[in-house]
Amino acid sequence: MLSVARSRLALAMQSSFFALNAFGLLVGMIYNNRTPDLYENNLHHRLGWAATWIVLAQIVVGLLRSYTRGRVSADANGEERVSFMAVSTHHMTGYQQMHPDSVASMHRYSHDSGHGTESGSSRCDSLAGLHEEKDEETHRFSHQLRNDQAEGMESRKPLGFVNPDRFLSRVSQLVPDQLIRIFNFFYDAVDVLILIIGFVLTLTGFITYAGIFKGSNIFNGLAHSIKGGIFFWYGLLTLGRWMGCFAEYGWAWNVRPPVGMVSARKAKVPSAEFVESFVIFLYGSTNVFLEHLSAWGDAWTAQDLEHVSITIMFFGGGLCGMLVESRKIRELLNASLARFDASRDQYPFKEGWTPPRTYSFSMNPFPGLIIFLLGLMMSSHHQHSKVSTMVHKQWGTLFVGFALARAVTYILTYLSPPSSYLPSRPPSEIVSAFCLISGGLIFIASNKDTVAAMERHDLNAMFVFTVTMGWTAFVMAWQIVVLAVKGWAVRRRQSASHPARGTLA
Amino acid sequence: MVPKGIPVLFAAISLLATTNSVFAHDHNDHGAAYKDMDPSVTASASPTVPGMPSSTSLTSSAPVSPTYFTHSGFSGLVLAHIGLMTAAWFFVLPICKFHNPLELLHR
Repeated sequence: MLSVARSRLALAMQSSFFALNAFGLLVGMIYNNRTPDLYENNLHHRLGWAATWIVLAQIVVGLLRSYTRGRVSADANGEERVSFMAVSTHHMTGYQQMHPDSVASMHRYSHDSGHGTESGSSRCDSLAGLHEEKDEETHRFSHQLRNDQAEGMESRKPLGFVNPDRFLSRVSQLVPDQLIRIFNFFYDAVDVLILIIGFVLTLTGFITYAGIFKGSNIFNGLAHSIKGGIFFWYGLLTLGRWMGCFAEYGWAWNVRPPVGMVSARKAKVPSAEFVESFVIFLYGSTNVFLEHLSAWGDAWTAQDLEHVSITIMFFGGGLCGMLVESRKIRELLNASLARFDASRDQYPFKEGWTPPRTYSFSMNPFPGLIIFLLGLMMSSHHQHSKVSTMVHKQWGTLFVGFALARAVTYILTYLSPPSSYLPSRPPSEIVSAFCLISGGLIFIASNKDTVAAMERHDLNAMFVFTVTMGWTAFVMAWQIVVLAVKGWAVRRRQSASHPARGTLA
Repeated sequence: MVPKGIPVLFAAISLLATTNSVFAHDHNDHGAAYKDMDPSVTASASPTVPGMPSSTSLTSSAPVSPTYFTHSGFSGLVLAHIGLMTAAWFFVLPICKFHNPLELLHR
């Protein structure tokens, strides 16, 4: 019964999104009809229509998916499924000890040897939110499918009324398995991309409305928007990590769960510091020539070279960061002590060979250092006007703030490395997230056209700064609410399947 | 269980949209900042917004091509569009994504 209620809520939310979007489009079209085309070939209109069709397609695919759930695992990767089952049996043995009369215990598992259940049960408790949902869900859906096939699909009515349900289930039976895999991939891809598309739509809406970035100003505009946008999303990611997202990869300032708890594929995901360093490196290596785009074919100006030097710093710094993260390289660097290997087992030297506590956690100052230097450079960067200088100084200072807050985090983790799989939530990371988000937004606003508009309308730099700070705090609050709602939904699902299970704070 | 505020929000925005004829007059009476953006100045003079202001003068003397921002009509409609889209994409969509029980296996 609860699954019906959940699906109803999800369907209501998707319908309300679609209705709001449709009305918004209608209003936009009326406005378009009544006004002359003041921005020809603009991206906002095209992307807006494309996004509407994509979301509609995703809703349809999602609906079909709910009827084809048991046929193909949601991950198209067969290996993933196998490793999930291995994890779930490991969990299940511990779980059965604790809840002998639940649905799960009705099945016997071939790996149930009884040994290791103590460690299994303790891990069960500590990671209640992380993995149980997936294991139970995999198990429950296959169980449900068997039930449904036995009862002729009468028990599953996600929509609550009969006719569309039967129609859709018949349609879904016509869909071949290969197509389902494609559907799954499409659904997951859109899920990730839709927020970014929404962000681009908001930006292009503003750009189209204000009529900026026309002609050759597009390059300056693109550069500021893309770079600022990346920092904005980096800030949102940093806040998410603080909140405990991606804890299964060890990204949440926690101890990384080992291979036995997470699938082999997840255990191979690199650390957050590696990903940060890699993105910095990627930016550096791809942007060397992009800085020269607005004057392609002409001589390189001093300003072009200034920007290229930043990309070289990113290239080198990102590379350093990735190398520092590498376990292999660290082991090689320990080679100077190799000649003392014999003393590893000898008393009284044995204790000295225990690896330091700080080995358990990757602390990499390079992303922070690079962005610190970027911020310093921006603060002293010659600009054409006073307003422009001030605005660049503002986001430069904010990035310096990010780096300092990240340094505080690393000092704290060096002195006291995380000891649990649960996210440790260092408070300095909230500050670093705030600085990145607000710095990214002001970065976007520091393009030539916007600064020119500010000067034209006699707005000073503090106006933009203050408005951005307010907006940043609101975005952060909303992100926390959204993720809390997600946590609530997960918990509701869990309590529906396991009423006896206690919850973790 | 659609959030209760949404119909009210939509009603409020629709009301705003119908008042565009009232707002249209006000914009033309504002100060000097709008005067130099007379839409009747043809765009053939200069297709690009001056990107590098050479002075710190408050109002630019060069003709600026018209934009939606300076186009005074139907501002209620575009505000309604912005409001509805913000409600849909910023408020409803993320909740919808994370609350959807169909994509459990990856979260």
